[in-house]
Amino acid sequence: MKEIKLQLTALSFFDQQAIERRLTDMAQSGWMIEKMGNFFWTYRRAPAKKLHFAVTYFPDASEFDPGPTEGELTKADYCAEDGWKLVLRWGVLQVFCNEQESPVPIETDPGVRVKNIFRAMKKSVLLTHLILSLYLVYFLVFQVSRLVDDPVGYLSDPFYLYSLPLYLALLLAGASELILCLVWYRKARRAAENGVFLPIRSRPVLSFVLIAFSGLCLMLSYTGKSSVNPSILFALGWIGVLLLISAVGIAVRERLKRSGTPRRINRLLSMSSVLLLTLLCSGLFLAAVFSGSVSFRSAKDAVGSYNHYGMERPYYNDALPLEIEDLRGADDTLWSKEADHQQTLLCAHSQYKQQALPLAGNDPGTADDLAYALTQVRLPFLYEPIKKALLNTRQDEVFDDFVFINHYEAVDPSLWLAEEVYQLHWSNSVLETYLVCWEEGFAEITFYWQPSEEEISRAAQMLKSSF
Amino acid sequence: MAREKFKTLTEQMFYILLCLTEERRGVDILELVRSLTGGRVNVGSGTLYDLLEHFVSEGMICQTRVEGRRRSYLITEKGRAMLDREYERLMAQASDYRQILGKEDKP
Repeated sequence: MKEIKLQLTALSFFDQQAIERRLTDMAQSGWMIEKMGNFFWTYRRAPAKKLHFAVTYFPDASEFDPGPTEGELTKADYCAEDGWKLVLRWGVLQVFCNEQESPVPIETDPGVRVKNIFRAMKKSVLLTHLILSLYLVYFLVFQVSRLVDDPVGYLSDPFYLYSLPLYLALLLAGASELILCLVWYRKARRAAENGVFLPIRSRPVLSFVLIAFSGLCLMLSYTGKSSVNPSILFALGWIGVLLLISAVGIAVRERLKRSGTPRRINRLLSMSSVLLLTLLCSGLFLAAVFSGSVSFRSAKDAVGSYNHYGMERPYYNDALPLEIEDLRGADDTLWSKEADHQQTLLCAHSQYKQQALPLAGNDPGTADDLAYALTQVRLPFLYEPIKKALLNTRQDEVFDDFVFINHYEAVDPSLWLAEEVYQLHWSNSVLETYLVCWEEGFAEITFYWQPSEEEISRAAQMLKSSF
Repeated sequence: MAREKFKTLTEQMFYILLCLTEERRGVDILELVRSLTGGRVNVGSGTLYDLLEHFVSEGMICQTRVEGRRRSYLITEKGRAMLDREYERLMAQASDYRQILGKEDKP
């Protein structure tokens, strides 16, 4: 017969009534609480009995104490006078139980109770939420600036786009917890003036909704890319490393607690171990990046590789919607044909490149490459902002008295069968680089040769029909 | 703290201070308040601990003896002044009551 039961619990740390009800129900069904944790609570089989539970807070207690402090023991002595037995302590939280029919409650003064809870909140929750919220605000600002800098890349990249609602949800959860705590404290103080205790309520449904939403965002951030985004793997790997470091920190803390190490020394050693491991892992990671063992380049399936000035380079044979052969006919040139796609619910973006391989018998100097990108907007209201963003990718730069030309200028769109077409002016020349705006989407194409009208017309037909 | 930092005392604060006009161990106060009020006022054991700690930090009571975790307390002059002020406030309330309703209620 099972002696230990683990239960996933999503009750607020400060919802005394809900915790007490849960523990009472479990004791009545033969399970006595043994240990509490952030996610799982541990129960041990015990004779089923009706017990009264009381959850209180001892703000001066610490997770790093080797055992109950003098103050906690003195309070436990007082509680024992009324039949209350200390069952467990979890940081600043204490759980008592009582076998009497109608015991005197442990806390009878709402004002004292509210003050105690708020002190415990400040120590255990508010600071953490504040730091987390500030970090998330910083991260969101970073994300928004990235969105402003490169809207196409951001809106079409599932890793970035879906991490935005994920971090917003986390910020909302943290900030709402902070605000709710402060609102509760203000109301509870007023209620206590009238001798009434205003309890805190758990919102387990909201917690589960946020967890499910975050999970969905994470899953979505995996989808929609033709190649594995190393940033995702790095982010997931780093989360795993941080969880491992946290586990080590907790293990060190618990080991020191068992050996009776004083609070301050335990805190110093546990935190130092976490800090050192974090620095060590960061150092190892940086060393791996610099040595080339870890790369942020997209991992794609190459069909082969070639040696170019002593460096091994991959080449590809991906399907392209428009190939040089479609425009100029086939010849003996060996090509690398590379395609990269990424898409989200808002935008799809594909980049294509056809390059002559610098192999024997292949003359890349005379071979004419082709590169283009197709962008499809999924929501009509994004069309104009995306067009503007694409035009703005090219902007003149001013250095003192010198202006470096780098901008698009409108040209006749009829040849392209498009609504608008722009051609790139770069330095003192006009390049064969075009930004073509169709109703269906946008193409940015660079011909590394002077295309004929017939070639342009053919390219327009093929690219337009590829949306 | 309720009652804006002891401008007035709650009933439980009042009785704890009253009990400590004589030197007493904290743990004895629980029972004494019950017997003194005929069970009308119950001070919770956790509340007693918190209030004793708070009264000590505010200088309203002082520790007189420490035997392990058994501590004895006694009210200070500051605490006594607070207790007297509360008594006078309650008396003033009672007097107002008598002035308005006391005569009417008497046969």
